[in-house]
Amino acid sequence: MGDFPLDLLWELFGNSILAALSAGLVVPVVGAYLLARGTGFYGVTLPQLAAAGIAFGFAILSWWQENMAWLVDAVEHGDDSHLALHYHILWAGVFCLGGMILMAKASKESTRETGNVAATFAIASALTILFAHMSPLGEVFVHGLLRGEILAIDGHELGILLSTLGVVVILLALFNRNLTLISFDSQLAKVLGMRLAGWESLHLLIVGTTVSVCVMTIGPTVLFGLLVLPPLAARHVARSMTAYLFLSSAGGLASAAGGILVSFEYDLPLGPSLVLVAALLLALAVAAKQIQRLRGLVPAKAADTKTPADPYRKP
Amino acid sequence: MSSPQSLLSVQGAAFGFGTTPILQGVDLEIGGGQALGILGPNGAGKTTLMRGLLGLIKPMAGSVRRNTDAIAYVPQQDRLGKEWPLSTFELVCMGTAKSKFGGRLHTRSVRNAAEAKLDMVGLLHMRSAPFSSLSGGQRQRTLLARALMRDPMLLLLDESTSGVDRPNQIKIMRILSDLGSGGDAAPAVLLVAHQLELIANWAKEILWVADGGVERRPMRDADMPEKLGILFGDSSHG
Repeated sequence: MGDFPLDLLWELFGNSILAALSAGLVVPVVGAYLLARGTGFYGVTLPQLAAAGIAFGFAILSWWQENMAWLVDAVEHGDDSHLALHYHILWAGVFCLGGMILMAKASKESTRETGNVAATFAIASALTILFAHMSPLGEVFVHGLLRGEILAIDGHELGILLSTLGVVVILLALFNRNLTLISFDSQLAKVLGMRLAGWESLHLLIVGTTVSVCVMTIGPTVLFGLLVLPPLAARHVARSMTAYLFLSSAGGLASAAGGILVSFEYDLPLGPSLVLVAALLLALAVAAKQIQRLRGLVPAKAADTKTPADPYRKP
Repeated sequence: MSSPQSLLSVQGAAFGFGTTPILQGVDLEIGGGQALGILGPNGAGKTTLMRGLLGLIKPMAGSVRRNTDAIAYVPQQDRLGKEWPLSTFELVCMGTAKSKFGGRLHTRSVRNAAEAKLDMVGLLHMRSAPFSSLSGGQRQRTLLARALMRDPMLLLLDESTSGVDRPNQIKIMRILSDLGSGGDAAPAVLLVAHQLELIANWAKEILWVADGGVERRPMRDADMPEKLGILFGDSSHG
């Protein structure tokens, strides 16, 4: 990196750096809610679903161009990348939101939520490979996405990413307490007169939109990492919800910045570099918590003197 | 026909899940200042009754009319998510009503109210502690503080004294006694409990939940031998 003039570096990779930093700032906050709701596995399953959607879009591309071009005039990537981007985001969104709705419905009907989400991940992974295999163009594109190559983001992609993340930030800033309440104690939310279905839909929309747009711009690998690792690290050290959200975002930003430096310094793909820096931060957070515990700075969980929950229960 | 002071009116209601009613023919009239203990054997439908009264489940028959919006409840603490890194203070602030735009803002008045409620339950010094790090008794008192944020006229508590040590049980009962000191203008409080002796000095009446129904009795009748026999699960009392 030292041989490269900074202005040239910025000219070539400025969009990618901005994309990585802005995603690092916002995506972990979305992931923080998933993790706290006990749905951290969604953080890997949803990007995989979105990737399957993109691969599906490639698989049916020629049929779409013949029959459905009036809806989204998709043309081959390269001829009109703007339209192609909209087309891919559309399919990423359809698969992501569709998958979320199906998983939510399945979870309501059974208590095996983790199993349902894991099964969805397995199916989405297989579909991604199969759909990509049906289109040579799709295979190359999806492989690039999975490698986390985010160095070729154009201004239009960056614009869509920034405006999406901007809307997500505004929605989370306005409604984070409501989203926390419906997730933490849905019964109280109902007693307070909140419409649970509406708020759950808003949460679904925030997660689905973030994932769909980010998969197409920063790729599933980076998205996996940012949705899961910074919130997990923050959870180890945060003592309040505000601190948890702030630290998740700060950790994501630091991971993005660190990933960019490592990537340029050692000529490594940006996506995996970013994820590994995020993993390093997680390891540091775990170590910090252990050290605090050993030094007695984190008090052991308080306990009442023992009283049986139900003294009249039959033995 | 409900009386003018009636906060909650239940007529011929049936509550249950799916198509199976657990409680039937429930008739209740709850007015201001009333202190009722909800007792009954395990699995008899105490929590189902509470959910029905709160409007969390719709009655399968009959009607439930809530004549106040100032309703609050204290859930069983084990039901709440363990992964949330909420501080005690943040959790209490949750009890506020929503703003005009649907959001929940921690305004100065909300923060002051939350501190006052934490002080009331003796936990102001724990305001910054993570809720998950509190003991069972402290968590119950925090949830009670959250419920009090609404200045409720109708307060329902689900097993708030279960799994809690004796000093915390006494603290909770003392707070409930203080709440009921305002006569008819005071909130009505309904508490699901397992320990008869704990609520004996607080409750004026009990709702006996058993055999698919709800029976309202004065507290002095609560220690009827046949009731204790059912409650203890031991025929020797009966």
